[in-house]
Amino acid sequence: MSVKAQKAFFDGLAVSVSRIKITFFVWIVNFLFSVLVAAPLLFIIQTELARSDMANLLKPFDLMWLGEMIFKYQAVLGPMLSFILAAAVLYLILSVFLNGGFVGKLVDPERKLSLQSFFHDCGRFFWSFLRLFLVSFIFTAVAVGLVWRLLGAASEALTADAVTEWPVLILSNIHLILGLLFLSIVRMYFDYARIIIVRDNDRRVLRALRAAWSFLKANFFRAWGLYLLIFLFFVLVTAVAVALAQVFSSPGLVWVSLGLIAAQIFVIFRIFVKSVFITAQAHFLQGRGY
Amino acid sequence: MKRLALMPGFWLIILLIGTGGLPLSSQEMAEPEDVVKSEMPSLSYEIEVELDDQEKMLYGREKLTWINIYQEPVPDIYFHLYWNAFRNEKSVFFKEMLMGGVFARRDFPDEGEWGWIDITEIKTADGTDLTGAMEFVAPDGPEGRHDMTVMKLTLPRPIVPGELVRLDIKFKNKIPRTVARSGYYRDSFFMAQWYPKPGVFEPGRGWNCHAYHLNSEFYADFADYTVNIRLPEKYVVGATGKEIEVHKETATGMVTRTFFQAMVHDFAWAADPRFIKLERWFKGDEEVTAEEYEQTAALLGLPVSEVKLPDVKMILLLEPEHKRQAERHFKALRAALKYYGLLYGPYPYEKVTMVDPPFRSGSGGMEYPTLFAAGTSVLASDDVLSPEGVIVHEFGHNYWYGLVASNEFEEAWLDEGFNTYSTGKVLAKAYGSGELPIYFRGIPLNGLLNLPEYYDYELDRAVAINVAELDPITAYSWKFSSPLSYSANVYMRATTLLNTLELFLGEPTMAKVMRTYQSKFRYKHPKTRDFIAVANEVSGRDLTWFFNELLMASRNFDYGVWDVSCTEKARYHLGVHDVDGRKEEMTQEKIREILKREDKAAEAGQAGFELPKKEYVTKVVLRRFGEAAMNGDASVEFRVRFEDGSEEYGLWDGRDRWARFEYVRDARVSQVMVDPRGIWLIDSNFTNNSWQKSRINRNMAGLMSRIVFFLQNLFLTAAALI
Repeated sequence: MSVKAQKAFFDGLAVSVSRIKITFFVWIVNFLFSVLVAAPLLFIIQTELARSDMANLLKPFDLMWLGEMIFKYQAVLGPMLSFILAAAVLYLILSVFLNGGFVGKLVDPERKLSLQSFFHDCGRFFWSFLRLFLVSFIFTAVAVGLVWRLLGAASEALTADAVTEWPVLILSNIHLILGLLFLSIVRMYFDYARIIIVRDNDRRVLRALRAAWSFLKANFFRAWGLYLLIFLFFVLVTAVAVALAQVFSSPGLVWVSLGLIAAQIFVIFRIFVKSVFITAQAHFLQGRGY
Repeated sequence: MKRLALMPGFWLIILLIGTGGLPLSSQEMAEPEDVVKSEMPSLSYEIEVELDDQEKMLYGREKLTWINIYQEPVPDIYFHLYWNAFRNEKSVFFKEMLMGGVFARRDFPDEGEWGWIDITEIKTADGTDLTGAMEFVAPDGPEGRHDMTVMKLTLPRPIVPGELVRLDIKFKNKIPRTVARSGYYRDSFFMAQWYPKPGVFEPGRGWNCHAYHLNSEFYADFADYTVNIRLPEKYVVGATGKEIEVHKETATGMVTRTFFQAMVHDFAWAADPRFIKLERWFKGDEEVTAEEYEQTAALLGLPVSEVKLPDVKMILLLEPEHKRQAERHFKALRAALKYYGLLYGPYPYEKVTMVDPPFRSGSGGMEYPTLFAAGTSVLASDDVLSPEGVIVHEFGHNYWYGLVASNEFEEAWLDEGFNTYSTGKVLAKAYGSGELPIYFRGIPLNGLLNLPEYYDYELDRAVAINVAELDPITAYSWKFSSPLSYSANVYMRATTLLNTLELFLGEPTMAKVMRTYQSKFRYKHPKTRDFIAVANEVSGRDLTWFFNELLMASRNFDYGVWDVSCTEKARYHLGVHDVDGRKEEMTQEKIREILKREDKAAEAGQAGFELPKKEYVTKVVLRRFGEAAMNGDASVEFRVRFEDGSEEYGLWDGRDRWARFEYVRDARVSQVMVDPRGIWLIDSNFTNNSWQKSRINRNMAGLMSRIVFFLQNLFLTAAALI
């Protein structure tokens, strides 16, 4: 790992902490949006359980109750899943919009941070980011899909005559890891394109993509190392969170309340990691003389 | 229970076969009355089979003896030729698979991987050639007209009651690349349903011999099997029964292994050069404590001597990569031998073989008499009861299918439902609850995720209530509306029904019902009506309604609380009242005035005046939300709890759609609960079983927050991909 990548990581971390407000902006939107989408489900739960003793007996993952609800609401299950899917698509568009403010305010930390200026940047970069999103969406689907299939075909050919599960198990996991690594490269590429649009205040998407390509051609392994370092940071903290989740699953009002708070801290952390990706990569871009 | 070797009928049939019977051409006479009275099988097989592992072929010769133990002449014999299901896509099996949609063809065999069975010659013992008397038939309707899984052999003359017929059948099979758990992968072979097998003759109905359907298992008569398997010496072999002879041919590198088993209704074998063969003993007196014997005897109302378990040899054929799980396999089999034995009677055979099926052989999770295929994975999690669940279940089929040999084509619930119910009991006794198995690309995630533990009955019920209205549990296995409905009804809903019956009758009675049914119908082919008769007789109750409503119909069972109201009881009533011989009309205004006066008097402490105690009228309306209705001596039990802590229990016969109950108490109602003892596990909605005054609680808050948290993460993950 290059020192510069590490430095970029810590610099990015510092900037993200200093601009934590941005993380909170996004968290509020995410929370309100999720509550809105969850409202029909919450209404069903309220209707079903408010007067039932079942509410007292409910286990964290109650198979019997889940079975009941599926049976009772089988007619609305399909529409409800479609609704959640549509909401996810809507959230993607919303994220494209929020990314303008998110990236804008993180890449240029000198500028004043206010809700007004945040949304100003959201609007300023929206169309560029939307175009980039469409390019990224199609490219990711095609490239990752193609690589995934190629890796799958290779793995299948190598294990066609396997005598035990081991080769299949090992190769299918290597397939997954390679697929994810390739996805990380694609994501990194579009991250840099997004940062370049904001840094250069130039909304031409193809120009940004060309510039990101040139930059990564010269600095690929260090840039990728940085990307993976941030991802590792995310994985480590998530592992700690999963371990802590077992503590918060204890019964009792205090633990339930603490669990609610801990869950939201984790969501905030996820958004924070996203900001670290932007700030660290922006620092790296600058540090490598772009 | 009598051991096989002690059965007089067993020795009688051996004697008949050994001496060649009476000299009545190919069809010989036995004494019909004696035969009917004894527990001897009416069928015996002597099979010689050779495995050509290069060409994936079997070459076989079957000497079959069948005695007409019935009181009617039998003009023909129907045979199952199961492997013709894998011959081409015109078979019933593949036709039904194609009904699964356009992707069904993905599961079709590739080039050179289809399988079949041909009878090349069939003769009677005196040499009469009957090959030309064979014809394929479609017993389950014209859609099976191209199917070749059922063959009718018309005999030169009917077999009269007590007569014995001997057939000499030559056959050859192309072994399929594993389909429906039979076939090969590389050099491992699992041979099931591989030989010509007669159907079951049912007096008055003829041969019960169905085509091989996608959603059906098997049905055959008890028989004695002697099977000689000739194959290359490198193979480790496991088979039904006991290996009684091994003959090596040094010149050819071949070996012939002879297996014998009496009183079973199928014979399967597996061969793989990589198998590690391990043996252990189940010792009845070591595995079960004296206290456990006494408790079981007390539970079943039997003397201790009748619940004692014999020693059984356990053989494990294990793939080398699973070697570290060997003791885990034996532990599960010990638990199964112990608890099935205690609850349903001793396992009557000398040995049991469990096969860990080779990778990609597709033959795991299947039962055959005295042999079963389990299945595990190299990274099997310690937190999950797998392979334990499969081992216990497949061994358990020795009881429900093996010993009590119901017709799996027509009444699959009698083996799968009974056995899933029994598996749940044994797993709960031996292991307690287990976690849901969650694997990601072969890696167990149970250690990573904090997954809740559950008992089998919980999962069974969750599935059962969702399929209750699709089909009756007792539908013929190929007549269910979908494969999902078949498996969910036959396994899970049937299990939930039996668990409900246990809760309804109480554990001791249910244990006696099951034990009696097993004892009474060992080595027989009982039907649903036989089980109902046993349940009625042992419990002393008429449970016919229970089975009619919940087993033979596709009705949802759901009783619950519909409405609860509570008002203060009025002391004065509107309208005209006769007071001291005159008419007095009470109006709202008058009542208000009286009440005000009384309150003042009470406040002033007026002598001799005491405000009457407040009383409340609670009205409870219960409803039958589902179509299924209680009957017989069953009724809906309910409990009404009041704010002063008092309780009132009530019963409603549950026949009508609803019923109202009224209580006058000096306290308000705080809770109403239907089925407070939790008997009706099959009820599809526990949520409406109760009503309570208080509203929100922490569980609800927790559930709601988890949903929001899930969505937050779902949206963030989606956004991370842009």
